[in-house]
Amino acid sequence: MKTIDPINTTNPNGFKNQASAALEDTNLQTALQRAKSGFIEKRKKAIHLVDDFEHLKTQAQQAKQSALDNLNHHLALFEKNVVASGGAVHRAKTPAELNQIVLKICQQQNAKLVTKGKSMVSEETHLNAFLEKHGISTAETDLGEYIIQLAKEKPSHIIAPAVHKTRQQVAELFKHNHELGERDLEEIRALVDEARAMLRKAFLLADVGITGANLLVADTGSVAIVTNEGNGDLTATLPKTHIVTASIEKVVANMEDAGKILQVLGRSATGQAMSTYTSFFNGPRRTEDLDGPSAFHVVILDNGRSDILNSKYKDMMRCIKCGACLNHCPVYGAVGGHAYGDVYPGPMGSVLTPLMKGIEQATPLPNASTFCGRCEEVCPMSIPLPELLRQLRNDQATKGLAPKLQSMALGIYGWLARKPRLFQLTMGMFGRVVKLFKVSHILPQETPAPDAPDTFVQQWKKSKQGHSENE
Amino acid sequence: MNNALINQLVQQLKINVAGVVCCEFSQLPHQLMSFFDQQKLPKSLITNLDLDIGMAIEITKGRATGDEAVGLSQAIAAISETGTLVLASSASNPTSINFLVDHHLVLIEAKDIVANLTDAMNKLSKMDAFDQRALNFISGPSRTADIEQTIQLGAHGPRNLWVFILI
Ligand code: SF4
Repeated sequence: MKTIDPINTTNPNGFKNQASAALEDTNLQTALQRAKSGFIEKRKKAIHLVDDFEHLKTQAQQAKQSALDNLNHHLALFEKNVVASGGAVHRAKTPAELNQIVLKICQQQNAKLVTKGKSMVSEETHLNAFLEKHGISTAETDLGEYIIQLAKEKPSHIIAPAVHKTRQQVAELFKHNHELGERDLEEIRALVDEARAMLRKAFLLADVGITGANLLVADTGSVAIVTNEGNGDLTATLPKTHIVTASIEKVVANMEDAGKILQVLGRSATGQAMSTYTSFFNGPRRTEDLDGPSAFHVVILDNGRSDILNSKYKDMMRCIKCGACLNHCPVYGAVGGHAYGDVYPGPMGSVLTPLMKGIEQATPLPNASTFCGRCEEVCPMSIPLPELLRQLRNDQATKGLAPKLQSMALGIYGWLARKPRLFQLTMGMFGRVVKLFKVSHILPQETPAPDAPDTFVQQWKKSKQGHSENE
Repeated sequence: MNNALINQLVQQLKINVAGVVCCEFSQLPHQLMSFFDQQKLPKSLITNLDLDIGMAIEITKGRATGDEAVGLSQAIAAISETGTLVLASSASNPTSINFLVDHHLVLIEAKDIVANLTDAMNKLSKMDAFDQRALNFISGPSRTADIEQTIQLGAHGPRNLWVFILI
């Protein structure tokens, strides 16, 4: 059985080999199966409970789009209001700049231990490794992030970082890392309690707390954080200094717009109308307060986002990192997040990674798609992910980056795809041939031979007869 | 008083796995005692609210430090649609209580219940609530599904959320 070592060996250009290894990793396959049905069911239920989810989506998209259309104005207003409430705002163009700014603040505080709430921006900049290199210990406090920190891995999902781990693997990690002697870690409850006890100490000891941000609210200067565990709040409340690592596209105009986005975020991500904790932070503690940090910093990262906003890929900047497109993607569901070889996996990652790292650094990713269109359908921000992937493929072809055989095969695929009847017939036949002769290696990426009796479209039609979701 | 809002809030809080009690303010001491008896907990709590709730419960004033099992706060608003309480940091409501205790008791006056998130945002803006350091929207006890997608309560914050709706 092969396992992939995501920290040392994976990269976006290695998708094909990484995906093959993932398909042979039985632990990973078990974990992925479980996660997939869980996420899909929860989201579906939550959406059924609202009268008109399409309306909520439209509202949220308008809120986000209007903020993006006038981004500099909103960022300036946000900064002004944070400063007015006693905090500081720093702008970082590159990951290296963000790391430097954070390090400097930590050093001014003489920080030895930093607790961290989940922050994808800090994953982007490899902040933990950077701080550790400078002698500052970091403790991830989101349970999933904590697990993968112990395993020395990257997150494999943007909202469920350890979704690829089974409970047995987590128990092994805990036994290896916590010196607590013989104990029974069979039950998930025991694992959660052990992590709680370990991290409680870190929360109370930490000098600095670093969190991400789900939203930056311009007209109040508030930072919003959404969690279920409460780890973000403990990180933001207990240490003397709170540093927020965010990115430019998180800003919205006001609380009303923030509310519109929150209405679709929880439902799309975990199937919750509201996540357990949604918190707004407005600067450091006030004179009369008994707790809260005395220093409040927000570091806002660009890392190529301004360029994306000025390009034909600007729709991608509406992404609110809900993870729904990952959960509904057949490719992600088959290979998991590490195969994508970078911070953001799944359909959104296949668009973001080439845009942020350079298209030649991630050539396989825009092709890691079946173009089934599910991602766009479930995306609360209606980001045309398949279309963006198609454009990236075009750009690759123009730059001569797509392998010859692949562009030929894609040419045929594209031609067929424009002729639905013929396409369905051919794909049905193709699937059966692949299965019959066990020749899945002829597929452009090493896709598993389909084992369903029907083609995707046939199954899709059947499942649609049973129930319609939000169409 | 809007009974529909109260009923919906009670229902949603229960769905969110929170305990709920509706009572008049005068019954609060009695209801708090029942909570301690039912949960078999030593009768002491941390709060910085100025409340006269009788001598039978030992009250420590201040913020939470991690050693206290039970804490008491007051919400400034509640959202019936989602079973959410809104707590604002202040001298009388230190945020640490919301997250460090095992059992979090929250008072909410029925008049402060609103229907949905939009109404809550309007109400909070009018109250200048965003001038406070922190606003916490709390919809149940702390939870995680990070191991095998199985929901477990009491991840890092309270294992138990208990709401007293004052009518
Ligand atoms: S692209 Fe859409 S579905 Fe995917 S994470 Fe972003 S907002 Fe969610």
